[in-house]
Amino acid sequence: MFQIRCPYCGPRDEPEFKYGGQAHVAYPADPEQLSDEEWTRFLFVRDNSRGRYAERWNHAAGCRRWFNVIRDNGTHEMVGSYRSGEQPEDAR
Amino acid sequence: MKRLDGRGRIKDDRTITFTWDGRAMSAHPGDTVASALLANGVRVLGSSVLMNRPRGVVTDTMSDPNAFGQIGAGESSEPLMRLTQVEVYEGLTAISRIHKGVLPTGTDTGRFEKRHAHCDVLVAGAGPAGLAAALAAAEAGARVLLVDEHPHLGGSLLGEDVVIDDRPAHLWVADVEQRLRDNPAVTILTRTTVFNVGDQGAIALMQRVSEHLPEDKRRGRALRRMWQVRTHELVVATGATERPLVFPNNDRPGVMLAAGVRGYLHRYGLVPERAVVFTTNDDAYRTVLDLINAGVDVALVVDVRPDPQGWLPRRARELGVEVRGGSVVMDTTASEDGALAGVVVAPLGGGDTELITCDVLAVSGGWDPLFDLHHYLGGTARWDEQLLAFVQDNVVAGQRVTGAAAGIFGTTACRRDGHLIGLVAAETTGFGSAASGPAAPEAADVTEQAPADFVRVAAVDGDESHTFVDHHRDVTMAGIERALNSGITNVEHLKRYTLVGTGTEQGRTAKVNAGRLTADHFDLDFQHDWRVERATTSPACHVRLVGRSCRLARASIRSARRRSTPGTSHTEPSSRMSASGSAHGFSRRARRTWTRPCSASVRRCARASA
Repeated sequence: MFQIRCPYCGPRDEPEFKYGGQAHVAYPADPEQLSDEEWTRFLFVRDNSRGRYAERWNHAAGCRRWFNVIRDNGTHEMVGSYRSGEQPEDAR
Repeated sequence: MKRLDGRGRIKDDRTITFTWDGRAMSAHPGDTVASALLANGVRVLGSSVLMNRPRGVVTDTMSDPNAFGQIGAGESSEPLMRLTQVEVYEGLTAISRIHKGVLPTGTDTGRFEKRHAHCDVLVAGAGPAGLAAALAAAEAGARVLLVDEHPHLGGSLLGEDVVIDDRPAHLWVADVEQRLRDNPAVTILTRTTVFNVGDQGAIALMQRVSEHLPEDKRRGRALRRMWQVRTHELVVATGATERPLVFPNNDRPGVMLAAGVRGYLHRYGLVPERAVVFTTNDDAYRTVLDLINAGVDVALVVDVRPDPQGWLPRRARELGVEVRGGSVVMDTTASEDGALAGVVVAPLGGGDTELITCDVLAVSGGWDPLFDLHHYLGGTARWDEQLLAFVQDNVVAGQRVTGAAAGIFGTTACRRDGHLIGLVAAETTGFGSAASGPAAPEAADVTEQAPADFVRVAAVDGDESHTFVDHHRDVTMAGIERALNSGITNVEHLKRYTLVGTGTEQGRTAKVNAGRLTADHFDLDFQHDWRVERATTSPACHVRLVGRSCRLARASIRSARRRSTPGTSHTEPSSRMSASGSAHGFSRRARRTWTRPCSASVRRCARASA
């Protein structure tokens, strides 16, 4: 069971959270103009790298806010977390 | 084995009775089922799993490959319990099923519970290193949880004749225990096993709360309690286990590990009539000295090394024990019941043999550090050519291995390392400073001669079908050679083919020997890390994991007190309650009514566990 630091509430156990996939996937500026392939890539294709990975979490059983976590998906090290709108450099 | 008066840590002023396979046996408070059976003259515990060979107790710790049995009767009996761990109580029922249990079919009526806890430093193991680490961390100010699976603190010190600070070791243990118990930030859990380690300091413990008590004394308490702990730092001080040697007919009841023999002497006052010791290292001579000191006849010490000249062998010679260097035990003989009657000794490499009668052969093939917990989060191990054992190779964040588990042998060295590790663990969590902490004890252990790199005595006639590598799974040298000659080159495949290292015992005494014999077979260096331990460290029944939740009052571990959702508010003084009470919109009267259904059970529960 992970322990995840919610930037609003502090460290809590994993069952309190909901996973939200990769962070910093920007919504296309003009979706109408995208080809099917580009739209598919936006919807479904995510990085699948080993190492530090920025991902979204929702504190579902707590403050219910979304935030971002940097986690090493090879070692399960929780590198840090930061609020939505902040940048990975702000993680702590 | 026979009982010596005034020896051991049992209370021999009182006798309790239990049954083994329907036969009445007597024991004393403090006995385990294994020690009580040895004291009752039960040398043969049962038959082995595949070959129906008689098997007996091998050692006094949880590493014993044979000492398993079914404990309890009927629906709440539990299979494959470690007889070296189960404490005897009045009316206990044990059935000999040494390698295979029978699952009870009905509903388990035993009660189990679980709880959560937090701490800064969790110390697994209360031997010299663990105690020193816990004390150092606690006195630096950290919240410490000290966990040990034995009923008493002390670890290996309980089974040794050691002097610490010019006093018997148990006085040092009592002193440290008192200092820890006086510290409100320390919780000590005995009879508790760390059975799993997860990410971010998640630790799972299983505490035996009341199952060691006679049924009329359990008084409604849970049998076991599972703890889910979140810790900042884990100190792994889980010690080491002795490795047996591989030679023909090495599985007869009476062939024991050397440290187990002296463990039975110091813990339970049990000694052999006549012992022979077979060793590759100096440590087994501690068994020789302790047995001589207890007045036991040590017929011979068989040492693989040509000329053992360490302090311990020289001391044994001074006491009149014959030490035969460059020799091996090449076979054993059995009496009618299948237990050990004698050993055949010969020079290493062949020569005249000699039959020596004895009822116990104490064997030592070196020591294996136990650091399973280090493996669970990606920790690796390497083979150390000096120690001839696996030691940790990398560092896992949030974990520190110390003492014999880190390949540090010698009581003072363990205390020193444990102390330093405890200070560093406390400093990492924000308490004290390792540099300015109290000084560690200076290392002053006896220097030992290097052990011999030796595993196996080959059968003279080439028949290896009774040369056991894994007693628990009946894996013989013949079985291993058959596997390796049929194209298996990897020790992982060897495991699947022969089942070496599997089963409840998980190869604690077999896996290193199996790996080394594989390397020898292919003439390879035994270097690469093939050793990956998987959770859990000991079997954990599912029913034990899903007990009801409970929260405990303060640091007390004895009283289970159920609390309702608002937590502590309704048990705190009313002056502090009014604020939270009104904030939640409860009048005091309403709150009283609302807590009433729970209060009766709280009182019952608190009474039951008082």
